[in-house]
Amino acid sequence: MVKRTINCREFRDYVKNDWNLEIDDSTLFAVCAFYNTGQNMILAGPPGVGKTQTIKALADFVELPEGNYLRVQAYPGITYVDFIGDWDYPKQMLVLEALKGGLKLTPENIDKIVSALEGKSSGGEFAEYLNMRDVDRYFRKGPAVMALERAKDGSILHIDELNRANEEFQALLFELSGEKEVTHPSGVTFSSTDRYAPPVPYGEGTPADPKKGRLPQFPVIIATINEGDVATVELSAALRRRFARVVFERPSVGTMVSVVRKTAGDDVVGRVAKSIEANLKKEGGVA
Amino acid sequence: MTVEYAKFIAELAERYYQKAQQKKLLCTASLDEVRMAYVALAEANRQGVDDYETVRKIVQSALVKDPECVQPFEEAWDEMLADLARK
Repeated sequence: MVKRTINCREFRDYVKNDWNLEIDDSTLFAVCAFYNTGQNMILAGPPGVGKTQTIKALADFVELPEGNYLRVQAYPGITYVDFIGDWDYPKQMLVLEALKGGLKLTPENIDKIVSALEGKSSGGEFAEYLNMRDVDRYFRKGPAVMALERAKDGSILHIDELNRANEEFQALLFELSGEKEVTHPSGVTFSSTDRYAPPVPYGEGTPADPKKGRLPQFPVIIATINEGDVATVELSAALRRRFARVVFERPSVGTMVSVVRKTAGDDVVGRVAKSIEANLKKEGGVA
Repeated sequence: MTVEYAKFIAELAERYYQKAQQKKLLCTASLDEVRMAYVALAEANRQGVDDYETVRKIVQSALVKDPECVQPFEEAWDEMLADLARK
C-alpha cells in the first residue's frame, strides 16, 4: 500500500544512499514536507542536478504500485490528446459498422441506433455497444486520466519540462492542479479516485471533499522546469500559485569532488590529477 | 511553535509583497501560498527537520514562484530576521 506520509530523514538517506544523489538536505526535506501535505510541486533548476531522479526516488520510496508513476513530456505542440486522451473514433466507427453488418437495416433498427446515439433511448439489445460515452470501451486514456483513475492506490504524475508547454496545456494543468480533475473538450470530466485529503496541518488524513477545499492527496503532480532552456515559456501566475517551487541548486565544487571520488575511486582520481599536473608542467613547443 | 510560524510567515509574506510592489513585480504571496508554507512547515516541525535552511527552503518554495521575486523575498527575510534579533 502506498505511503501517504513518509519520514523525511529516511527519505533523505534513501535518496543519498540508494540513488546516489547529491542533493542538499533542506531540498529533500522540503520535497518530503510538500509530499506529506499533498502539495503540487515544481522542481526547478539547471539540467543534471537530480530533479527527475528525485521524483523517481520518491515514487519508489512511497511504494507506488507498478504503473502508477506516469510521465508526460511537455513540448510546444502538446495537446489535450497527449495529456487527457481522446475518443477512439475508429473503434466507434468499426462497432457501428459491425452492428450494421449484423443487422437487417430496417427503418426500425436504424431508428433504434440513431435514437441511442442521440441519447434518446438505450438502444435495446445493442445498448451496451451504442453507449458511445462509455469511457472504458471507447476512450483512449492519456497519462492524466490514468493518474486520476489510479489515484485510489496512490499515483504521481510527472510533467517533465513544463517550461516548454504551450498555453493550451497550461489551461488543462490549471484544472488538474486546482481540482484534481480534467475535462475533455467533449464535456466528459475525469476526477481523482482518491477519497482522502492529506492531514491539515498534520495528524490524521480526512475524507476528501473538493466542495470544501479538501482535495484528495493523489495524484501528486510534480513538474520539472529547466530554467536555462531557451525554449522557456512563461507560466501564468495563477498556475504557478498552485505549485510549490522547489529550487535545486548546482552542487558545490566540494560536493562534485566527493561524488567523483565515490563513483570513480581515489586511484582513478589520483591518476587523472597526476596526468593533468604533468601536462601543465610541460614546456610549450615552438609552432 | 506553530502559532509563531504562522505569524512569522504572514508578516514575511506581507513585507515581501510590499517590496515586490515597490519594484513593480508580480509576486503574489497569496493566502493559499501562505497556507502552503505554514502546513509544510508544521509537517517539518513535527518530524524535527525544521532547521534554519529547511525552514527557509520551504517558505521560499511556497512564496517565491518566479526567479525575479527572489530579491524582494531575500530583503524581506533579512528584515524579519533582523527584527527577531532585536526582540
